[in-house]
Amino acid sequence: MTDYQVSLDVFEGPMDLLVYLIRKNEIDIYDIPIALITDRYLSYIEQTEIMDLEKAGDFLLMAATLLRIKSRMMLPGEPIEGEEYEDPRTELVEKIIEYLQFKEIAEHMLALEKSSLSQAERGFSELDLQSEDQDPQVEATVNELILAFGQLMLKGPPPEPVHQVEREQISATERIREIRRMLKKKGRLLFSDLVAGRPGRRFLVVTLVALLEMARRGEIIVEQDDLFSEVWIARRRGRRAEAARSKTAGGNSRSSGAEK
Amino acid sequence: MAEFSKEMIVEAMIFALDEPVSARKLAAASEIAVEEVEQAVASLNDTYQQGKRAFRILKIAGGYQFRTISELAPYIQGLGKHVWAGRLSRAALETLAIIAYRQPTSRPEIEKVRGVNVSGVLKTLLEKKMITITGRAQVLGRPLLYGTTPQFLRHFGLESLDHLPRESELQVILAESLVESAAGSEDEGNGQGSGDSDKQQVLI
Repeated sequence: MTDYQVSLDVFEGPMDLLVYLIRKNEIDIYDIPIALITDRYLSYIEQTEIMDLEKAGDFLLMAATLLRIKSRMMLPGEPIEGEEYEDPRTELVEKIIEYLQFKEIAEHMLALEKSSLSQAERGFSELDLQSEDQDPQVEATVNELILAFGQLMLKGPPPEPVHQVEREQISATERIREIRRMLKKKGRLLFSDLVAGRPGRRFLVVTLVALLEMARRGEIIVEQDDLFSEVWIARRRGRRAEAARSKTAGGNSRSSGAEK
Repeated sequence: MAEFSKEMIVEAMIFALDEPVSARKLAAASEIAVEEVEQAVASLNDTYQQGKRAFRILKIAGGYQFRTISELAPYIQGLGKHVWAGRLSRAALETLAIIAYRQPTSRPEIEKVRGVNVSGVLKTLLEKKMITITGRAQVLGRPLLYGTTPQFLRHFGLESLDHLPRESELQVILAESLVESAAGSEDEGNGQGSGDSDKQQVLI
């Protein structure tokens, strides 16, 4: 077995490695000996340490794919009615060819780029000629600096960084009670009505939590006429619903078997 | 208008605009017909060639633009600190190639072909205005869709996307390059699998 000295970082990704192995082992891409290639691939991975965790995942995924193909080749599956037998390697081969095609195209584009860059446009400014790693230059003069400073001074000193921890305005339990009261009056409410006039994300969340809890207990029914249309919250009737209503912490109606 | 030839007018207009300008735009701004604009450009290029001028009018990104002849490139680059500024990396080129041929396409689709993460490259290409966001895919996750820009065409000196080599032409190119790399190693023994040595386009 060849001793692989090169680190896996040389390869951009699993496709890169796969193509390298195919070339190195002079493999016919249209008839890949899957056992061999899987073997080589795995031994390569095992021998090298992959530093980048994300890359490692990609390489492992390819390893799993190869193993799956290998197992499919070994165990002829039952042919599905009407379908022709598909070589389990086909998908992989197509992928490799596509990958190579685009590498080829990239070569072409490199040549095109070279040729185009050698034909200068008008107004080829100094800016274009600088290294592409630099941040885009912001044109500023001393004037602008002074102006900016002046504006800052006018704004006044920055406020003290104080973090306020807000007291929770309302708890989910209280909100459940509130909703129950509202439903008692009206029977059926729009979700948007429930949160109308009371701004704040916190309130919205508490309402949602309350509704979920009430739905779970069987107190309410949630309805919608159409996909993405308004949501209705309705008071559920029946013994179970009654029981649920009185059961909750701080339930405001006494337990009763009678229907309301 | 009578005093100036059509060539002169067209020449002035193309000169004034830094970027490629379409024949239609030129025709609209002057009283010259679109076909006459094209003729004027052809005639101008003849003049430039005969007069040994350093530039030509090229058709790029669907419009006309003045460009210096490539032979004089060394002198132009002598003006700046870096030669070949703005050149793209291999990874960027490969990603860009996929986008150019498959647009509109999303990041997952691109990564499927390349086998590597492309988010960094996409960011670079967006910054360089080679690609732009053209919408969202209708699939799960609604990923962003990317497509190439006119700046892309300009950077590569292409008249239009149709001027990229056709994918069918590429099959041939692919086969040829495979033959070349196989030729070097043929002495070491046949490739595995097929014993047919005539299958040139298949051996890597």
